Formats: sequence, structure tokens, C-alpha cells
Amino acid sequence: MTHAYPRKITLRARDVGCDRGGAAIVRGVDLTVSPGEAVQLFGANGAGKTTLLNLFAGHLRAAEGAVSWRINAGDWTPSRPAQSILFITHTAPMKPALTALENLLFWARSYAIPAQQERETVHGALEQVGMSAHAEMRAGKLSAGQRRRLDIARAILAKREVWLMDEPAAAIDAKGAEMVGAIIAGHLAGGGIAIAATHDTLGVASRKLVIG
Amino acid sequence: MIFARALLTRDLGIAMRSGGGWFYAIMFFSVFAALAGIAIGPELNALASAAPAINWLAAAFAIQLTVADTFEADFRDGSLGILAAEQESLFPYFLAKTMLVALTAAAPMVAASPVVMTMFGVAPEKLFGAAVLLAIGAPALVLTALFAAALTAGLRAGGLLAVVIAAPFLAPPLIFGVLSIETYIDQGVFWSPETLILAALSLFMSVLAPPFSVIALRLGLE
Repeated sequence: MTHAYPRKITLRARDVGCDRGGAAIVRGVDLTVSPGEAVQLFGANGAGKTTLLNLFAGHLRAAEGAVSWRINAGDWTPSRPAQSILFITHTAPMKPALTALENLLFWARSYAIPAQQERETVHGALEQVGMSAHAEMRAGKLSAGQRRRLDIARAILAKREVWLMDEPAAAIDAKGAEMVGAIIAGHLAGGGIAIAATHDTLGVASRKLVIG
Repeated sequence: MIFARALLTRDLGIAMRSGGGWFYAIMFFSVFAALAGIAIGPELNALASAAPAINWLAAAFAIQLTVADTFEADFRDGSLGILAAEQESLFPYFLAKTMLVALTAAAPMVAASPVVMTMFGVAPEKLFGAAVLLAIGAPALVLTALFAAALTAGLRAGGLLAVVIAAPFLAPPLIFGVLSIETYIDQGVFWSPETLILAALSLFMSVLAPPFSVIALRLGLE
């Protein structure tokens, strides 16, 4: 499933610190993630793994230090490259009243997949995460693990270079976790980068960064 | 724009499904007006003179209550955070939500308003014009409500807070909305100064509400 990304994006954090509600949560994070590399964020509950992901996603500002980005061998800039981020939060953003297929069609459109290809692309992604049989089922009837699989299918649709993931394999069974690992491996092979906060193993060779 | 259309299509689909909210506003509007009529009593003159006020109050509250939790579902399931990270701007998101409220809450109410006004004994030839006046003021109501909802997105009991925040801002459209309908019914003047001010309020909110709401949504994600 390897999709070779035309842009190679590098993320660099220099001595980054982040506050929440006036309290220092994360301090002194030094990190460079080059194309094809995965970083796994470790740390106790509340250590600031999600906070750090939110910082990279642009929801928070760094209280100290700076995050910068580079496309190919270009200059470092503080702003995230346009349409480069895929964000997987700890909740799968699937609407219970819509079917699995309808949910993913919406996300496919949000990634500007052309209308003629959207159904084919979405069915392909559903197949990859083993959810083809449940395409017409409402998301409200799916289990937490199945909704998680849909969110992984969203990652396949997005074709974004930077995957920020909060517990990507949470609620997914052992075989599914292997599948998630394989999908992340494909993403890395295409030159993407991945940063994941997880207590489990990621299922793919990754650098460990302990926070807190 | 592709994104705004996709979001609007999705949300309309959800609103039309069972448990969706497309009829909440028109239900509230009709029930409020009917009960107000019962409370005022059978005196037709009293009913007719109360008609513009009841019409606007019912519309303002119906919109407030249906719009107050517009962003709540997207906030809770993480969609909003994901879209804020992945999309270049939240403007198309806000635009789609505004269209959604216009189509599922404001438009049905404007359509139902002649029925309510008839019930209150307004002359039949004035019904259409009165409904158009409601449509002219509706953007002010909708955008005020959406801005308040954006400010309180993600807060506990945010919906209630949104209603409290929006209340003072609803006074101008209520004052000029009621005056414009009264002038139209009593004197037959449609484009009265009151109507022009009402239209100006709608335009004012159309310009101010979107950027500030987008900022408010982003702050809510921090």
C-alpha cells in the first residue's frame, strides 16, 4: 500500500515546553523526525504526550523553544506545511447516525479526493482495515475497536505526510494492531513521518522518547 | 468550498436521520406560539397586537435553543480538533454550520410563521410580508446564536451558557424585528427605517460573527 509522498517533511522541536492552564506540563523536548521515521512517545498518564501531539497539530503554542518544519531540503519554517497533517485523536470521530461508508466518504471529501474516485478509494481503505463487511453498518452500532479501524482507514485516505497519533491501536485486537503497524510501516516507507503516543508497541521500528 | 459542501451534506444527512434535529426549531417555534396564544386569551385584538412580538420571541428562542450545541458533537468526538489540525482554515467549517442552521432551523420557521400569524388574527394579505421580515432578521439571530455556541463549545453546560451570553445581543434584532412587522401591519410600509436597521443588523453579524467564531473555536481547542 506504499504511497510515495512527493514532499518529504522533517519536523524539528528544539527545547520545547508546553503549558496547560498556567502549569508547566512538558519541558525540554528535543526531537527531530526525518522522513521515513517513527517516534513513539512514552510517559506516565498526564506526562504530556497528548499535549505534545496537540502542539505539533497546531492547537497549542509552545511556551518555550520552537517547533519548525522543513519540506525536502528547503528552509526551516515555524508554520506547518499546508495539508500535511493527519491527526488521530484518542476518540474516533465517526458519527453514530451515519454508516461506516458515509463517515469515510465525508473524510475522503475533506481530503479533496476527486468525486469520481471517492467510492472506490473508500472501499479500498475499508478493505485494508478489514471493515468491508461492515461498510453499510451505522457507526453507532460498531464496537470501539471497529470505529478505531475506521479511523485508521481515514489515515489511508488522507495521504498526508505527518501522522500524529494518540493511542492508534487502542481497543484494537492483536491482529488489528499488527495491521495498524503494517499500515504505519507503509506510510514510513513512502517517506512519511509518524509520531505516536502509546503505551503499547507500535508494531513498527520506532525511536522511543520518554516524556516527563 | 468542496469541504464546506461535504460537511453540509454530512450534517444534513445526520439531521434528517432518526434522532436528527431538523424539526426541533419549528416544533419549539410552533409550541411556544400556540401556548403564548392560549396565555393571552381569546380577545382577538389583544392577540393581533401581540402577534409580532410572539413571532419574534418564538423565533429567537427556537434558534437559540437549537443552535446552542451546534459544535458540541464535533467537539466531543474529536472531529473539530482533527479538522482544525488538518484543514487550512475553519472558515469553511463555520460556513457549513451556518448553512445547516439556516436550512434546518431558520427556513422552516420562516415558512411556518404565516400559520402562526394567522392564528393570531393578522390579516391574510400581510402574512407573506411579515414572514419576509422574519427572514431579513433571521441571519442576525442565527449568527448571534452561532457565535455564542462557538464561545462555549466544549464547556460543561455550554448550551445553557450560550443562551445567557447571546441574550443581550438578541435585544436589537428583537426590537427592530417587532417594530418592522408592526409598521408593516399597521401602516403598510415594508421598507420602513426599522426594516432597514434590521437588515443592517443581519449584515453586521454576517461580517463580524464568522471571524470571531472561528477564533473562539480555536481557543476552545487549546
